[in-house]
Amino acid sequence: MTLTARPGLDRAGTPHLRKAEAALPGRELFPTRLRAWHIAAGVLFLLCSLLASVLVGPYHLPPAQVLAALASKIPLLHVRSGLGALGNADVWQIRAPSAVLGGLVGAMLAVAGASYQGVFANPLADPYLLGVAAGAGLGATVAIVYGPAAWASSLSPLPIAAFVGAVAAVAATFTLGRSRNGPRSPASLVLAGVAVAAFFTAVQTFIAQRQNSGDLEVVYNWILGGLSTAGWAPVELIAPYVAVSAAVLLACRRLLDALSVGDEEASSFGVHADRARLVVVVAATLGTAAAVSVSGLIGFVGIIVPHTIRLLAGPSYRRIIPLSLLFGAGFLVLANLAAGAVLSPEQIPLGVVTAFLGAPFFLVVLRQSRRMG
Amino acid sequence: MKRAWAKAVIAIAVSVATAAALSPFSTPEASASPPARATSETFPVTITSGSGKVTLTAQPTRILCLSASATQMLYSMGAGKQVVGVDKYSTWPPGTPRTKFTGFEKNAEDYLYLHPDLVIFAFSEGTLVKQLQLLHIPVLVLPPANNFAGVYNQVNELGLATGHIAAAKRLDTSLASYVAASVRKAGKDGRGASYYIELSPDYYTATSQTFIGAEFSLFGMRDIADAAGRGTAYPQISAEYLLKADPDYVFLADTVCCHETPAIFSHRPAFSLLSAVKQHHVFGVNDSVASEWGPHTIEEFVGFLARVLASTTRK
Amino acid sequence: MLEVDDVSVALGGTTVVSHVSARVPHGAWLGVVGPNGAGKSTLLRAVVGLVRYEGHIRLGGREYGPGELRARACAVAYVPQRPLLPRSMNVTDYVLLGRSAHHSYLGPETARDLSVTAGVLERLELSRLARRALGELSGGEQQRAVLARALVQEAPVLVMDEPTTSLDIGHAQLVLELADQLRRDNGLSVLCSLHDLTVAAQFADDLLVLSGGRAALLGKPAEVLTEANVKRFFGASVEVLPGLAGPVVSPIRHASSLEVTRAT
Repeated sequence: MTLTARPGLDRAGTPHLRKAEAALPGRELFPTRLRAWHIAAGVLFLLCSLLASVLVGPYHLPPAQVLAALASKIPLLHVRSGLGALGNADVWQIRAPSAVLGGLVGAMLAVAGASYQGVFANPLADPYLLGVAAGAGLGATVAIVYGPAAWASSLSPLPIAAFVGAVAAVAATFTLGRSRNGPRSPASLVLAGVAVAAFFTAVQTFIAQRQNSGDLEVVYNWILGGLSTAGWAPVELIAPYVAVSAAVLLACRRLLDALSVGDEEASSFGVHADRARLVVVVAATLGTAAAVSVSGLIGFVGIIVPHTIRLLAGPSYRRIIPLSLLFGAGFLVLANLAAGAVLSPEQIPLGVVTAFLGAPFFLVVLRQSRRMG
Repeated sequence: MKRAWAKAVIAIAVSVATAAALSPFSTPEASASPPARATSETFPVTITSGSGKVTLTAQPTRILCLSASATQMLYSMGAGKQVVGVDKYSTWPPGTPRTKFTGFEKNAEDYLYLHPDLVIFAFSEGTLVKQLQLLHIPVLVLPPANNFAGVYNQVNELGLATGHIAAAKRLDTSLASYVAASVRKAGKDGRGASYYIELSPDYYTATSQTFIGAEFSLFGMRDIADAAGRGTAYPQISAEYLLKADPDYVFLADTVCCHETPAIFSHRPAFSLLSAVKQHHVFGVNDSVASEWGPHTIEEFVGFLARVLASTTRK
Repeated sequence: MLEVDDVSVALGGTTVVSHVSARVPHGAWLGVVGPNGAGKSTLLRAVVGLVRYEGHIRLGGREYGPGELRARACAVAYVPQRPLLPRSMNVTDYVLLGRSAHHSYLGPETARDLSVTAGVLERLELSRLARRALGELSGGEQQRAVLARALVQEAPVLVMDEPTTSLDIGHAQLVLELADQLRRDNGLSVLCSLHDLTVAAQFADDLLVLSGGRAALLGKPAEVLTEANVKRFFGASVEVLPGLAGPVVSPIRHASSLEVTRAT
């Protein structure tokens, strides 16, 4: 019997290969290795979107003068800013910090989404899976309703409250998600996340509904998400969290690949699956909490960016993680630019733009990759 | 936010608050803090508003007003010529330079094409105010007033900020005397009468701690929501609560948003049992009476209330 | 060099492996045989450090604690019985996982990672399949990929748990021949469980028979695989014939059951 069914060694292979590929053993053997040009493309994309969002704004500033203003900050290059006091303040205190903030938030959400998808082996996992959004929403609402006025201090209490809320929600998820005997399974964590998110959202809605319209509008404005910032304080606030979290997730990129063969096999080649999962989830969650605390809830970035990269660059997290960082940053900076430009002077909520731009693009990529596959 | 605003108000006008709170329609003349000179020579001025201290070095000539109530105040005191833009909710007076702005924009850069030299908000989440401060554009935040003292105070602040101190005082005086005249006209008809002010068909209402509540209080009316307003000035009650409280008067301030009318209200289940329905004491009013505290809105509503109370009888 | 010294394993309160000792010197192949449920897989998993055990397991003379997965992975590599193959992962990425214990966390793959992987891919004739997804490969190709993943660990001890379960006889031979060649070339110590006694005898220097978790017999294949022993430990009626590469274990059917089969 066994002799009849013989999947041939020779059936696969040779005819599919072109000679040109065979002549390039490195590329041929390591098709998903992260290459310098990938990084270069990502950096270029990010720099272009940053530049565009500094050059373009609802208030017209001559691009040449803005460029001169940017060049004037480069040491040793003696260019004089062509802008007046208002233009300079606009470029350096509003446009530049909000572009950089967009980069940080976009990078964080994209890389956290990719990491969650790896850890939970679920393509629909997003950075808000474990209750970060609901927790941050409650924190922000409490700060808006009961806190001191946002303009009363140099640093608004809102991001801090949102961060505390997000961390509290995820801590609750972790506590409840631990089964009585044995470690947390991804499934029980996700279910605990759903319960915690529902509870926090209920409390948030209860508090928000009891307020007058002004506070309510501020709460919903925050929830819809946005990157408008005044000065560099929010950037300075979240940059350390994003940097540490991104570094940890980058370091775990191979571990995410390893998790896909199951815990036991991963241990056999030296990967502590439980420990890796915990480290990744904690890093991604802290980073997301920090990002959300200043940007509100911006959806879709954490799903669309990693999946697009997956479709274009393959399923290995060795590529997905670093490229999500770069392209996530660029994507959100561009989305923010579009949010201000499309119906100028009216601003479209950023979350609407990310979905509006990202979803069709993602579908195109999906169709293309199906055809090729 | 509210707490900080309260602190700010106390800081500017302790005397106004104490004097005027006791007697809501006393003119605030005695307590006005600024010197009574009303020209551009008074600049620079420093004003403490909901956004902190702001210094105006010269009389503002390009005001962007993103509060419908403040728009009414500015135009009523003759500062309209200095206004270059008002928000989309500023419906009075007609002929103002209305914009699409709501005062909740994401980016203060949106306002720059108007080149404003003073921006006035009713609400602010802080980012807009901070952005304008970084752009060196003065900002005034005049949050919703809770009583008449707050209104007079905001009028005075705007007078100081725009260089119309005397006109602002005159506006206060005329508003106060109009209100006093209305109360006299209503006589004792309102004393002790209970009322329900509806903000939305799902029974959101306002207690007497709000500005509209203060207007009813002028006539000695009693808010049925006060017992429900624990911790919030805008509680949500229920149909059952309403039936039990059985107010003498019902005012529907959801005629614009939700197209409520006295007829629709009367046909809600069991509402035919309400005394107000039986006596036809259900009145539709513009939604803005509950959300604005400008002199025009106040005069309209207080005048309307006086007419209603004078023309109806209670059993 | 692998030393198993008085090892016992209890799973959920039941003793599955009991006081087993064995030794696999440098370049040797120890075959593990036994009936279903004898504890073969559990013993192998203990060696790899996937289950807690009592006793001592020394890899290259050193014992590794339960937390030392990374260090242990450099000392012993494992080919599981039913590997979990992520269908969309390509062959190279999968094989590279075997280098996990070698590379630093933040840096890229080193030149050594790449050259070892390239060498193993070449050796197992996988180079041409490097870009293909695991889900598109045949069973034999998949098994070679799993072997490759174990080999890039560069561990001196190779543990294989029924590596031919899903393969036809031709591919089974191919995979085992490969492992045997690698053992000779690189001096690997191989610990391999197999169901097929004839095949086990052909490749192993020594055979360990497990029965009820105990080491029942340990010796040269020709000594261990007698008709009496197979009857005793497997409950099977066999004929053992002398073969070129060791004893050939051939099952016997009773004449009565043969009649029944023909009739149907």
